[in-house]
Amino acid sequence: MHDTAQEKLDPRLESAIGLLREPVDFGPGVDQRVLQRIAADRAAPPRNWFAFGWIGGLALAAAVGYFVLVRDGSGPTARSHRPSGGEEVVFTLTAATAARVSVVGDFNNWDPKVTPLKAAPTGGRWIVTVKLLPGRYRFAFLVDGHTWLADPDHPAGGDPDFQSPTSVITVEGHSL
Amino acid sequence: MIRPLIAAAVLTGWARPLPAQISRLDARLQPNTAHDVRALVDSARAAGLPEEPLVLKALEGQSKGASGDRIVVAVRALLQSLRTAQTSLGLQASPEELVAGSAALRAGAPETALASVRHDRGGSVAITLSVLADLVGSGIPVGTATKAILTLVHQNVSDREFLQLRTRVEQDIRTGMAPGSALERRLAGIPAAGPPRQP
Amino acid sequence: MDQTVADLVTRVLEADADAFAQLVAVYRPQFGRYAYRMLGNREDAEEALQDTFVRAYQAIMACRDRARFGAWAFTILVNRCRTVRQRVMRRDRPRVFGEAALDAAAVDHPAERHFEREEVNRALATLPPDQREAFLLKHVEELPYDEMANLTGSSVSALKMRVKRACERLRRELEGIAHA
Repeated sequence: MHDTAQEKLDPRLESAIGLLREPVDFGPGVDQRVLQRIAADRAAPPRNWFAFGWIGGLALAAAVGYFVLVRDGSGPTARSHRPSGGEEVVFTLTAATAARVSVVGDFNNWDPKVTPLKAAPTGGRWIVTVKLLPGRYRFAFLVDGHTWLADPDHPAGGDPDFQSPTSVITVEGHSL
Repeated sequence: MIRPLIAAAVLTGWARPLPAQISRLDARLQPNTAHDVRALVDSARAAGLPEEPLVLKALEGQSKGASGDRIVVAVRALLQSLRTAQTSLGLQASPEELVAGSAALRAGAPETALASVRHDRGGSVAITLSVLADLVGSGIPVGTATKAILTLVHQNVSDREFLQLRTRVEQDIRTGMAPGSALERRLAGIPAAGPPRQP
Repeated sequence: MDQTVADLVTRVLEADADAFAQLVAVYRPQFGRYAYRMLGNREDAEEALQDTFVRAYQAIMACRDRARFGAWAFTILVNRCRTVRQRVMRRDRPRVFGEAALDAAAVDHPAERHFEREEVNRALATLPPDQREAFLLKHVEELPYDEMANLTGSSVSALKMRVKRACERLRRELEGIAHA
């Protein structure tokens, strides 16, 4: 909604707004400092590990000494809304030393072989795009065939019947 | 009228013919386990409950290496929650509503909340209950989430606004807000759409 | 621009660190201006700015529409500014709204506007935070009300009221200066 009825502003206020729209300089190197913060945060344990709670703690403990997983908050996210009601959903995980990663859930009969993630050339990131129909899907990541990980950026599955974490992703759709 | 679909056929058992469900169970489960799960699926069908969630629960258990007994217990628990949802929502409840109701119950919502939503809200309650389950899954205490949902139902907000609420709360949580604060903030931004619906 | 931004986001998702540096370069001027106007000093503004980009990087998969990365990240910025402001208030640190000379030195504005610039900043600082936020989003960032509602979590009617009150108060403050 664009506001068609722009109120007439006092000339002095107009002038003030003009001044406030002027650029602000943060001195040299501000972009570099931002990128250094990102690099420093990537080196530290990502905060999202804590979101796993005790289940994530177990998963992490199981992984210690074998591989280092780095979750950077880049969870699976519904994308590219389509008029037909389906969506392309991008699932991604950063797992620096994992040999293989798959996403497993209601959409693929919980079969680890069906939806493997592809490793990006650098950065330890794994990614796959899946077309999903509208629906509510439970899912989890399976790393190296033995470590199940939920996605802290999506709601928890809420029913850990098998003592391993799950997440829920909802793909919205509309029908006339 | 635009009717949002929240639980697709993949969750309701409509999309897949029965033989395909059975063959998946036989292919993935031990014979005894497959037999017991099939019995539970048959029971669901007889009660007019969706079958596919039960099959998927069994396949999840197999994928995660659970024992046969554990798988059957989990499927039975899911069946029970679907039955409870049906009791709360009524025999006319759609498969989508039952799946969403079951998710809300398993997240900790009380049966009375389902009944209240059904009683006070016109049309399908699938989205309302799905959002309730997701809010709890996002870390919002079940009592807080339930109270918020019921308040919004009484304000007669639309399904679209329920979906936007969930999306925006998740967005706020990802940016670092506490779940309860995120819900409180986003609730403040939802105006009442109209007078409360009369029971 | 949108296509380029969408491409940059895609490249970030493919672990291309340079792509995020380009996104920072694109959005830092606007974000930095908002943070500075909202918080009143460079130190706090840069803290909010850094927090915003760090969180945007960490959660970039949550950006559903890649071409609208800027709008999505602005939501984070609004939140971070609120958080930083609350922390500043808790530690009762005096806010500095008198850095107009630095603005001028950096961007080469006419010298005769220095005083006016400083007074505008001072007047802005008198606004309650919610009114300052709404005023900046509306009149400085020039956002439509529905987008402001999405950013802030407030209703359009509430935002319009805040903007109206902010304008009235600013006008009074600026008139006071003129007649002093």
